Amino acid sequence: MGRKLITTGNDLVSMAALEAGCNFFAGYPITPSSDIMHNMSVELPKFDGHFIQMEDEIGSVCAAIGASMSGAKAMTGSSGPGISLKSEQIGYSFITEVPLVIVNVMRGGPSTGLPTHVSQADVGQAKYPTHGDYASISLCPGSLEECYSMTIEAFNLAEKYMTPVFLLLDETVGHMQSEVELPDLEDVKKMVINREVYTGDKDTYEPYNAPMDKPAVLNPFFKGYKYHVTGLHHGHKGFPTEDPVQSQYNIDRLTGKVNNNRGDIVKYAEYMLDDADICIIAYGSISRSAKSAIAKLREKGIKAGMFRPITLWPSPDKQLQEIGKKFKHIFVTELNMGQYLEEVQRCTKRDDIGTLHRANGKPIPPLEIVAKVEEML
Amino acid sequence: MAFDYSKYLRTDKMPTLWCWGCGDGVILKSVIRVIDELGWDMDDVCIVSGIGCSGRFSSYMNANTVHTTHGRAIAYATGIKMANPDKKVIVITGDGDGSAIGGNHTIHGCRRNIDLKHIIINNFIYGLTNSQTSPTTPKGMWTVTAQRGNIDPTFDLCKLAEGAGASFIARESMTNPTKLEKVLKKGFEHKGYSFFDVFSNCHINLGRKNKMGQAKETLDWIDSRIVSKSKFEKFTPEEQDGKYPTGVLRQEEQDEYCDMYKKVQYASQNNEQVKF
Amino acid sequence: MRRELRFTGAGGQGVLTAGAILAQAKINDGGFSIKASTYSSQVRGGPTKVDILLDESEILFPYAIDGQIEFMLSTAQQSFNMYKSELAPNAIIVVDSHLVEVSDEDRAKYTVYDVPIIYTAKNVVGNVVTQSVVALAITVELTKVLSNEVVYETMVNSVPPKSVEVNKKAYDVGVEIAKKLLAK
Repeated sequence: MGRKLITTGNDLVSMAALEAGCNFFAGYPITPSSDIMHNMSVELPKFDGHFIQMEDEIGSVCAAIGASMSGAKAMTGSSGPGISLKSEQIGYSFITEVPLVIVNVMRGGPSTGLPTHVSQADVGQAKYPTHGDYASISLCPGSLEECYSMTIEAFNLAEKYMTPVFLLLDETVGHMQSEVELPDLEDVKKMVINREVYTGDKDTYEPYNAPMDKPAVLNPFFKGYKYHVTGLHHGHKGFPTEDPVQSQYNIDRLTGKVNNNRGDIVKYAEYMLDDADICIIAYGSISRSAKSAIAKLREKGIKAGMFRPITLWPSPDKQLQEIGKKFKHIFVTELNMGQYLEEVQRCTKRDDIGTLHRANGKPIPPLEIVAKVEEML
Repeated sequence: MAFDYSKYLRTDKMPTLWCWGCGDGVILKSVIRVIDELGWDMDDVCIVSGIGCSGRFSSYMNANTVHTTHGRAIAYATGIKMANPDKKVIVITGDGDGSAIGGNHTIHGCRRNIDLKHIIINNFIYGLTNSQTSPTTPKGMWTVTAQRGNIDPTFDLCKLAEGAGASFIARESMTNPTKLEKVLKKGFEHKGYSFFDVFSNCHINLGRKNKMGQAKETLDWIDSRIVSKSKFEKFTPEEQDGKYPTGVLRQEEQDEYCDMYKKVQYASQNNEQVKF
Repeated sequence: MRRELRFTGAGGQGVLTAGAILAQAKINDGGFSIKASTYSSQVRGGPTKVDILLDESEILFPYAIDGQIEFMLSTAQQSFNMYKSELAPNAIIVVDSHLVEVSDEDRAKYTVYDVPIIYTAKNVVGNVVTQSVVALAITVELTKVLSNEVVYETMVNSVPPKSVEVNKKAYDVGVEIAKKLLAK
């Protein structure tokens, strides 16, 4: 059946958040992500949810984490400068294992940069948004349908792995308006994953006593399962520790629960790769230009296809390794100066990758990709 | 019969990490006695603290406890309270935590009049990190970052709370636990943002370097700076200089933020505007 | 075939709604459309444009392509100056004659029609808010990107119920203006 509607990427993100069960949003105004906050301020109170516009970017991520640890399904949204401000608290979310979805509608940087123009300049930041060791999850939708489905997925991954999850939109995907077909609400509800809850004895409850590669089990507050949450390294019950064995275990588990579950977390799409000689790697809105370029290249008899990572972090490293072995030519195009290129180089171990990078706020039209690909042949 | 604190404490975390004679322990006991008097169920209580010596406060209480980042306790607590408006949320910060790095959240917590019980443990110094100047360090005092004498004007935190719109404001000192309990009780019973500026001692990192090496000397110094609100009001401006009034400085019924948000929910669900 | 139209004006001018209705009408007609808006820093009053891309198949590159825009509507001088450079040779331009001045050089390059759109909405139709529908009808009649029937029906379903009648009148007025322009 499905549902058809005409809407924008940003609107789909807020719609999907609500349908995934998000009941708390805290934000602060920033272009180009404010639309999401506007929608949440209107919609959440209709369903007994809570919205608050905080006094600053830092306050908004704190309030969202606070709500989430106490039991809510929470989200915050921003763009580059705001994410930079939120970064310390994102680290707190990593170490305390409090789930959170963070939407970043990217704009050109550094600093205030190009507030209203398309960019993919925060891909590197999404991998390492804060100090310390951890492994982050970042999803990057390339279509309106994916703005919806990847928002649902972001909440699912946050709740399943008890970690912050980035939803990286570029301005084109965020503001593009067209018709989409979405799954029926009943089917969506069946897909929604909520965090695990401990139901055993209260006195022996150890929220952070998790096996390697598994997340903590944090019960909502105020239900009798009292424990401690701290940004310091902590033991099984959440109390601070400086024990080197425990601290190392914590880091191994925090990174392992993401990196060693790639099979479950990683998503990607392949397009016309079966008979291709050239593999174009692109994500977000640029993947659309690349698809269009592939059609034009094939008209000219050049067999091009595309690999599109949807989960940018953790990267689809095995798939990229295979690409490195399989294809004669690899071509990477992004709206930054090569932030994902480095990952492609790391995985493929190739030094002959063709590139088209840009950071001036302008999209990359298909014909430019065609010309650059032809140049490398 | 002696008061049994064990019900409210995580006794396995005792002794505390606080220095011998530190006022934080007196304040911890006062908070516990007030919770007991009010009959609050610890399952319904959340204690949120920031960073600093006061940050350890949350870990000692047998409640839902959160030790957050430096300066952000109020913002975390705002999220917790909004998502759970019928629960009790107590926030403990230090003076640097609550008025320097976290000053903005304190301002806006007061302004929203959200029902948080915010205790600033004000010991006039960054104690945990070894004696740096705080916004409440008196002029002329030695700190490790003002070794020739502090030139920064002193921040009157109750005036800040008043200007920002908190509906309950009180100041007391840990040197008088009976009075402290009295104002804490009034503030905990109050609906809205209850702001407590609680003077406390750091004879280790403030006292020793300012000719108050004995704990008692720092306590006497604190006592010399405070005077009851009624006496203070009778003082001439010259007499008021350097003194801080104690007691409940403000208590007014004002719209509480979570109550107001319920009105937003109602209005949204009935397609109307909030009625003020 | 992919067709590209551009609507420009000052932020807050209702005339940009015309683009949204046109994009919707293409979908109602069984095709694909994308509305790609600029996101100006100074949202209200600043120069704004919306590009409407129409096609029979899925639209991948969601921006107008330099030199392929066949039509531009403009109701503000600043946005006219800013956004005309990407037009196709011989593109049709409709400007609000009370608000936009077009140079002789541009008149030589493009087919320019001067219409007092906002004045017409206010004084001929009788309600200034109908300016977007007047502009929409002119656009459709001049470019024939879609049939008047499908756009008219989409418009009737898009405007607030209270203003359906006055907007129907606005559409008819717009079509008449365009017919006269074409007859010249």
